[in-house]
Amino acid sequence: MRNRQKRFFINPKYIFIVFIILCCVLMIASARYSDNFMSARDAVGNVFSPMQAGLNSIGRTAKKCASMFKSKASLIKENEKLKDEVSDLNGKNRSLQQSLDDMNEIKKLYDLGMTYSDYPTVGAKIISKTPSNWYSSFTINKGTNDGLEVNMNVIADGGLVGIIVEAGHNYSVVRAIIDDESNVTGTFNGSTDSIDCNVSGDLTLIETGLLNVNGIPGEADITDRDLVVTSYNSPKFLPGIPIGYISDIEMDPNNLTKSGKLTPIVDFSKINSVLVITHLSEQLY
Amino acid sequence: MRKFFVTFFLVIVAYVLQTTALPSITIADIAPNLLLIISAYAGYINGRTVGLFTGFSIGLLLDCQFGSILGLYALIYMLIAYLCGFFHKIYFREDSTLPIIIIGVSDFLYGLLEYIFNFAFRNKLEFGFYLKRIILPEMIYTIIFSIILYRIMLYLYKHEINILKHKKEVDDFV
Repeated sequence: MRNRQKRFFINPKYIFIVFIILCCVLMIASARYSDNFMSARDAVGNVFSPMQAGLNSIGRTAKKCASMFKSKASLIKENEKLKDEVSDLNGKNRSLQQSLDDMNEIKKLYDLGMTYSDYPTVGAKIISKTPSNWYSSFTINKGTNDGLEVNMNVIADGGLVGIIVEAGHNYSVVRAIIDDESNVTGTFNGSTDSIDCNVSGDLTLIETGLLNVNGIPGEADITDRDLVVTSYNSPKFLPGIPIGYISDIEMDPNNLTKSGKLTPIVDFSKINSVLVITHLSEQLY
Repeated sequence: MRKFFVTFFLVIVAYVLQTTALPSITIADIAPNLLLIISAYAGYINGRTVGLFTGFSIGLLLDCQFGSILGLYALIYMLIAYLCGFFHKIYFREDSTLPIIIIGVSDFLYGLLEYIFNFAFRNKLEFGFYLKRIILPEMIYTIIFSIILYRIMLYLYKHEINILKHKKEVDDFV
């Protein structure tokens, strides 16, 4: 055994140099011809995503089991509270339904486009999160087999979560809007003239969970807690998806634009499942 | 052969755990870096060549599933594992301070490289913030994890070859 080892001995220095060159070549090649490498990435995803999905479902079951041990008294209390809430919400729902019908009539008359709630969606579960502390992207358990494609928008709890950046056969990678590299063109809900702004993720705001908003026109009439939704001018995001509420609006030093912070609607620490809108934004550019 | 299978097994398990279980045990949004521990210790326990292959395969897996370009993580992890391989010369099974120092330095190096390649290049220059908020907490959390993992990895690799070598040297001497 020892003899054989000696015979095949190559100085690790040379292996190291060869691998460094290999890495550099890979980097350049994959940056240049990213489509050709998709099959290799797909293969890795196909092998690992079932494992990740399995492990995640075990974790979820464990969590469910732990929640079984809640005390009866607290459950009864919660039940009563929820019942009250249900009757309250039922009433509200009825009146809302009425106004929704009215609105649909008017919409038909005005021939307005679809809102995001009319788009076809596919539900998906989050199976793994990015292993690095520097990024916020995650993998979901559906891919091109279920009709997903790159650049499809992902929502949860009625708010924007992110966009699909990579789609394999049975998995897709979603880049969250809180990721440091994410940029979304937003606009202010209800404003008659289009006030566009740029909503970007920022790792330095990790403590607060907020996002940066900049490039708001200086003369724009906006106040704190205004709702920011995706803009018609965005090439990749469908219009009208709520992103979050703006706060801390300040005039930039250049006196031309304003910037602020944005509280996202989605709670990124708690999402387990998301909805993917299977409708691509029409390519304007 | 044993080395190969153990390393293969460790890489798969660590990768699956790192992408699923570890993000749910974060402290202040910071998760420990299990993959770094595996590649650094593979280098430290088995020498440069094994470390190099372990680091490269881990990095390539990360690149394939989460990276924007192939090869960047492979390069970072391979470099760290290779550097840790130099310490194989002073590897001693019962020494428990050197492994901690190795992990601390490697995780710092990893954070630094990640910052340079992915943040400094995009004009995000508040290094002080990233150091305080991400690099150092991750380093401490990773070190705590590595203490447990070192024993497990030693047990899996069961480093008998080293003992045999030593015995032969003693025999030769006598």
